[in-house]
Amino acid sequence: MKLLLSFFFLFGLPNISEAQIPEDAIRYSWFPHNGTARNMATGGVMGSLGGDITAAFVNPAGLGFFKTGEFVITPYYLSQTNKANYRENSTTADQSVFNIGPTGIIVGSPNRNKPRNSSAFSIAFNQTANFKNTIRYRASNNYSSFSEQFAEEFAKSGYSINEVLTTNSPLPYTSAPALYTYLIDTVSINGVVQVKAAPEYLLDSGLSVMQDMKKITGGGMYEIAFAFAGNINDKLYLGGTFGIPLVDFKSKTTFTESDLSGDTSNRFSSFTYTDEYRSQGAGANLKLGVIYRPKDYFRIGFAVHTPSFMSITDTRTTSITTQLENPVSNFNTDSKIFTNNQEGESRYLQYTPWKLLLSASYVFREVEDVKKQRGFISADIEYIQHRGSRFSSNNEEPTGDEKNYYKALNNVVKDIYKGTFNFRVGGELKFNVIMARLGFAYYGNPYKEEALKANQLLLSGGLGYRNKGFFVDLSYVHNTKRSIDVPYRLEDRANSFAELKQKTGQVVATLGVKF
Amino acid sequence: MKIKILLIAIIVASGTGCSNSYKTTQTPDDVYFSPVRALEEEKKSESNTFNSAENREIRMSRYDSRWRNFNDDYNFRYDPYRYGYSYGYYYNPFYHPCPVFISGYYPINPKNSTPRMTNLGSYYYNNMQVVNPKTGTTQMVRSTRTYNNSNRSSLIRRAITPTNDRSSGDNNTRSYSPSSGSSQSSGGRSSSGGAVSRPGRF
Repeated sequence: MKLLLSFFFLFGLPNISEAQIPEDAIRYSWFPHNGTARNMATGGVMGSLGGDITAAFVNPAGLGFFKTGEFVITPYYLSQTNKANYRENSTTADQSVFNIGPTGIIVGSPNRNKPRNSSAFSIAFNQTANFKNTIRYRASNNYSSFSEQFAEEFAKSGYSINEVLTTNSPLPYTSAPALYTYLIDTVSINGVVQVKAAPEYLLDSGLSVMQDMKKITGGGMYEIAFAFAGNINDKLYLGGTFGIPLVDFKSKTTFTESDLSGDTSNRFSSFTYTDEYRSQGAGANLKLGVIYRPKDYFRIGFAVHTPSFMSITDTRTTSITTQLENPVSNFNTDSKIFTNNQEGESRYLQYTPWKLLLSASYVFREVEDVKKQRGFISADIEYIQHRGSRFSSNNEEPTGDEKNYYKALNNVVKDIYKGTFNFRVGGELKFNVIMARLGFAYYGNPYKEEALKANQLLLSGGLGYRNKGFFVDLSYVHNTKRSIDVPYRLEDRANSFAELKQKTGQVVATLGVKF
Repeated sequence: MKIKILLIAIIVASGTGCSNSYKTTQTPDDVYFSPVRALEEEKKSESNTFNSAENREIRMSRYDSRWRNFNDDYNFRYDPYRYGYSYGYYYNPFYHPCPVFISGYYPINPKNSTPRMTNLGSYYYNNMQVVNPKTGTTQMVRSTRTYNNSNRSSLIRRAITPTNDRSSGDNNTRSYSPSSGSSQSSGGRSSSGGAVSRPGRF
């Protein structure tokens, strides 16, 4: 156990977790399932199949098939290529990561008096979602500026400049540094004072600004699972998992906007906004499942996953460098001077959506003699209500503004996301000690709006070897993911978004020993 | 990265070094069939040092820092009658059944706890009132949101000024009209720090 714990900590697990904008809702619900190499090669099917440690994270009733014990470890390597299309301009970025999938121990215990009854428990660790990624896009824009979101936020807030420019500012990461560096300022137009961003002078005169966005994210969502399952008469399998989800999400966004006109009299030259934050947290969830074998070879399964209740802490720092013209002047600052000379820190609670899973499997030859075992085919259908994510403040004394914000945030999550069906199909052919596998998985679009296209398609295959008390599985998964990224949002203008096409190649290996 | 690889190598080596009972027999595949293992006589350890009082204390100290001070004879700040005093409260079980929170205890430099916010108004759809010509009933229909993803888009940028805010179709949300402390919400505002002066602009 000590070795297991040191293993978790060496892999950099967080001690606390964060998500406070609508996009954060699907970060913890819209990701492909992560399993052992055998499971990944067969598309991730585990709703009714059982007999694999992945069951602890999908349908714990599947652990009830174990009357033996095993220890498994699943390292994997993942390589990604992102192609972003933003305002008709394509940019690519690459990323690779080495990490760990389902790893742990299963102990099966047959009933001495009734050999057809048994129980099993498992302690397992898994990286359920990988957040390591690099997105980059760059294009000219003649319609809107990133800085307009600060102007809009400040004007709508009802705060005065002096109220925002304080050492404990209510808008410390956005409007405060933007005001301090004169990226936004007040100006009198027709006798009415209005908030205006410096790049607007270019855009209003028909010119364009060059926009360059780079977002580097890292970390992952992990889970420690304590699972128990029972088998009644080799017919009915019941199981439950108490899961401890751990979140460690890091993000660094650098957005640069510049004037390429060469005109030095139009008031604006360039600005760079850097936003660095980290969300760390932990929580709890339950997974309950049942598998029934109405007759030999055939299995049907059902599982329900409760929301993960997570307590998350965000730490955040932003900075802005602004270069103005006419007269030429440069300003820069970071958000720390508006957050008491230290990183800002906000705490909140997040609840992920419920998940329901229905599955069926057909196993050719469920016999003891491994030479006669021939293979299986299995399919899962999963429903996730992405609009079910909820947020609430966990700060010690949340302000009224903060409470209102979270209430509005939950309404937006309900408004823009929808429930999706995910499908997984896979099969295995077994030739004594060698196995060959193929699989397919599809994850549906979580966005309600038709213009926002997103889905994930996974094709997989692999080989396995099982002999002399050991087993080795190797698989390759190719994921084609389509999604969108909105660099900034404006209430009073049409927004722009980048279309992302991500191709991921994942090599997964699982090593196991039977006892 | 190197640490991860090294650790995996150690775990694999220790796993493969373990003896298992299936070296000479068929290795079961629990997906298909899980055989009943031969029963082994349970071995009971002679001494269970894991439950010793000392180990219990060490385990407790991992979760609560106060346990770490418990046996520190050289820690002059440790006072069993004002237990936890330095954490903003103390606990004296002789007089009070519950922890006593010290009034007026404030952190010297509180962290700014503003959430990572975005303009949520930009996510909302505009609802349109539509009349059914057959039945005459009215219903609210969600309008389609417009996006501008091209410099050649038919959507032309309009400067947001106080004069064209109504006619342009864009809502002018950028007038500077501070409410001078009259919060939009009942909870009040958190603008409580000292002033930060902007650098001079030439």
